[in-house]
Amino acid sequence: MPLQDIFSSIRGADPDLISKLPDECTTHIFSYLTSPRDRCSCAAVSRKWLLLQALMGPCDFRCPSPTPSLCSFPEGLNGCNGEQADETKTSRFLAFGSANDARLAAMAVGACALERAVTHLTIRTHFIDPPPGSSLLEVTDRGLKIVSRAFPELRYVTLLGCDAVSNEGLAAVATCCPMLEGLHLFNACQVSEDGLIAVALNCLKLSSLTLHMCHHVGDGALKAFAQWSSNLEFLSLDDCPLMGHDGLAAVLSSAPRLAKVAIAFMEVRDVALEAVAGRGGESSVLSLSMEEVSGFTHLGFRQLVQAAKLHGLSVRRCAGMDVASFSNVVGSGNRGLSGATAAVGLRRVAVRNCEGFTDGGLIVLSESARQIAYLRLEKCHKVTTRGIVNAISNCSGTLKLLSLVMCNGIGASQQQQEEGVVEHGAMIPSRCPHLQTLVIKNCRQVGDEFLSLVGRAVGKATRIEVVGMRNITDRGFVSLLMYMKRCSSMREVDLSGYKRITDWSVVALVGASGETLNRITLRGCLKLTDRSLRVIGQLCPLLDELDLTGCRGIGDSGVAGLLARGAGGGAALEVLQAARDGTAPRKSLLDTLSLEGCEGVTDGCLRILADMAVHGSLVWVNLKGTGVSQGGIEALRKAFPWCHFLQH
Amino acid sequence: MSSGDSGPSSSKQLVQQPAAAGRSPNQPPLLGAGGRKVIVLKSGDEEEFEVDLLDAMQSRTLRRAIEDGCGDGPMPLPNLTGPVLAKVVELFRRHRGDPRWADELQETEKEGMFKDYAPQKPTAEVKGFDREFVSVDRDALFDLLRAANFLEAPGLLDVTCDAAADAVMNMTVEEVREYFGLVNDYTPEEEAALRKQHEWAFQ
Repeated sequence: MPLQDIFSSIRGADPDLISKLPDECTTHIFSYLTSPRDRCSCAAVSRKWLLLQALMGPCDFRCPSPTPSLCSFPEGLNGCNGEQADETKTSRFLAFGSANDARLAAMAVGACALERAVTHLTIRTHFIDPPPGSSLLEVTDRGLKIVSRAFPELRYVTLLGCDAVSNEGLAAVATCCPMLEGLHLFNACQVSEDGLIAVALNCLKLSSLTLHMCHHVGDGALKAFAQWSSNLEFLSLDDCPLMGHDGLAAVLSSAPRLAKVAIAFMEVRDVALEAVAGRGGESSVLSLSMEEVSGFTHLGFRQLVQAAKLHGLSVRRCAGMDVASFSNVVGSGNRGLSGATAAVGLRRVAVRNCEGFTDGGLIVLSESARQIAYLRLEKCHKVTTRGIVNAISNCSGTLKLLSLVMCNGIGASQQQQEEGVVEHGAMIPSRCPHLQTLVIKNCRQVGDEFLSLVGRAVGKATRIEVVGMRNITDRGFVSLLMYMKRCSSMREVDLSGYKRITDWSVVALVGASGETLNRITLRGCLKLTDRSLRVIGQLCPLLDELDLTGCRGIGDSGVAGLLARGAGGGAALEVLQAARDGTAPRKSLLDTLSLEGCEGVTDGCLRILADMAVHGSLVWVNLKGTGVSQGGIEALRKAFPWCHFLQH
Repeated sequence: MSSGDSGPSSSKQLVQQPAAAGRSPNQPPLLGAGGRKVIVLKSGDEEEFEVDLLDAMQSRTLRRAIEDGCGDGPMPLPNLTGPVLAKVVELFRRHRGDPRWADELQETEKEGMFKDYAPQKPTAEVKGFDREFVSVDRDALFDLLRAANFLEAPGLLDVTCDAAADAVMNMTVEEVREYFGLVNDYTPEEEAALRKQHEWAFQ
């Protein structure tokens, strides 16, 4: 009797034989699989096999892993939504449909088979009810254990909305990945202190930590980080209600390299702010950002602002911010001292959406911190022209950037503005020599007067954005340009939403700094005509990006004018003619042109665009909502496959 | 195999152990006994096989049983059939001195029992035997696998697992499932996730 027959007769009918083997035995079989392909096929057989193999490391396999060159895989191998790989970094980004344990385990199998190291891992799950049963379709502790075992060299882990992950998974990451440098948890509602303490104890290289909406994490975790994570540089805490001032004070005062702290939607007592102020001599400078933070008083804030170690300060929607907190800064100390010691290091200030922040606050702040280089105000409706003028005066030596966004109090009334000029105009130095960027956006009341006032301070501005203000006319803009006439280094100008300015402003702008401009944005400037484009064409040799979205006054001859480099005025038609004749105009550097909504632009400009594409560097043209026909676009696309012509 | 009952003496039991009564239970039963040491294994279908004691030590399960003093009578192995056990015993004989398990014996050695048992490299002959040993059909191979697992014999396990891994080489996922008689318990979504990660492996 043949051996096989004997086996069969004795065994009887039992098809599912191998699943009765214990896991070790199956794993042993896997250990003899040589090719990555076979390993992956076996992993895809069943859940159990996937998870078994996912937990095997490279050294669990008998045969040396084949080198990637031996197995030529198509690109699908990488199969991730976004993978960047260079010599030091391989990142995986799993989002939504692909964020689940099955994928993580498959990644581990693939990584093991190919010896591929992943250093950056981001998992973003969606907020739906997890599928029932022991499904692999959500990210759980099991998945985290698998990846942390498979990728012990993980350095950055980001979990967004992985609400099934608990301390167990986090502890696995902590123990398996001692190189961890960044941990970012968003909405990790099952994670509590134990998991994070494990991270603090095991990952001593941790330098960046984010905890957002971790509702079960309290002071204990922060104290652990304070004790162990001496490399911590970046800390962001958002909406973690169990964290109190004890933990915050501990971590803020003890981490010597802490450079950036962001706190939002939490209660912070003065004690924590004092911890920032009291950081030791060898600790690094710090920039602090607070959003919707309550619980501190002006006393704590005073200490904070006076801290020499504070480098940047950003405040958004903080109820504790009012003029009292600032007036106390100065009121408490004597005048001589306040200028000398207070806030000498403060370089960046951003105040957003703080109703309580007034002129008084701004003036006091700028008087205490005269080194401010970046000043950003957003939705501070109580700040007026007077405050701005004072701030510019106080920080004229260092100011590099001034950004005013939606501050409706600035230039509130003609009366007030005139007062501003009268009272404080003399205080404005002729120039802020370092002021490079001026941004005034959607400040409804700003008019010509304020613009000319600011114009006096603007020195070597290289970027001006004056966007969306109805009251500004050519007069204001031209006077702004007049003050900065000598500065020839301006490179970017954004005049979007200026419904009232005309060709005059453009002519003045191009006349003042056309030589250096390489980016002009004129969205929604309804009154501009072809003349502006002709001037731009003649005087802006370096222009590479021009946005004319919604400029309804523009027509074909204007576009032709863009090519009229060096030609005399009124040369548009000649150029059009020259384009028709096939003679080459001067080379254009323009590569991005938006004509969206310019109804006056028709098929007549096709030849010019073609010339720009042939002789120039045009690669991206937006022709949505123009009068150009579909056939014309198709012809362009066919002729210049390397260019992008957008149309509906 | 945890049974401490050595069973009635069988006619096939060749070596009597007169010193057995005086031994402490912790001592290896046959230690110090002279002559050729042999134990008897009894399969589930009542076949008996004689095996050299040192060969039987290749199985951790058998070794534990022998050290627990169960080596005196025929050792019942109810979950192994006669043909399987015959093959296994043959492999044990051929693998005598195989470093895969002899190393382990040397480490756990007590009182110089295996001092003459120096590990040798598997010869070409042994390798040829191994190849021959596993050139059986799928069901027979699984029987051997389960035997190897039950007996915890590293050499046997290596040979059979290697064979199983060779068998699935270049198989598609469906073929592997069929070969091992496994049911696909993935949901379509899970399978899609796997395919996305390793699309190349599914081609």
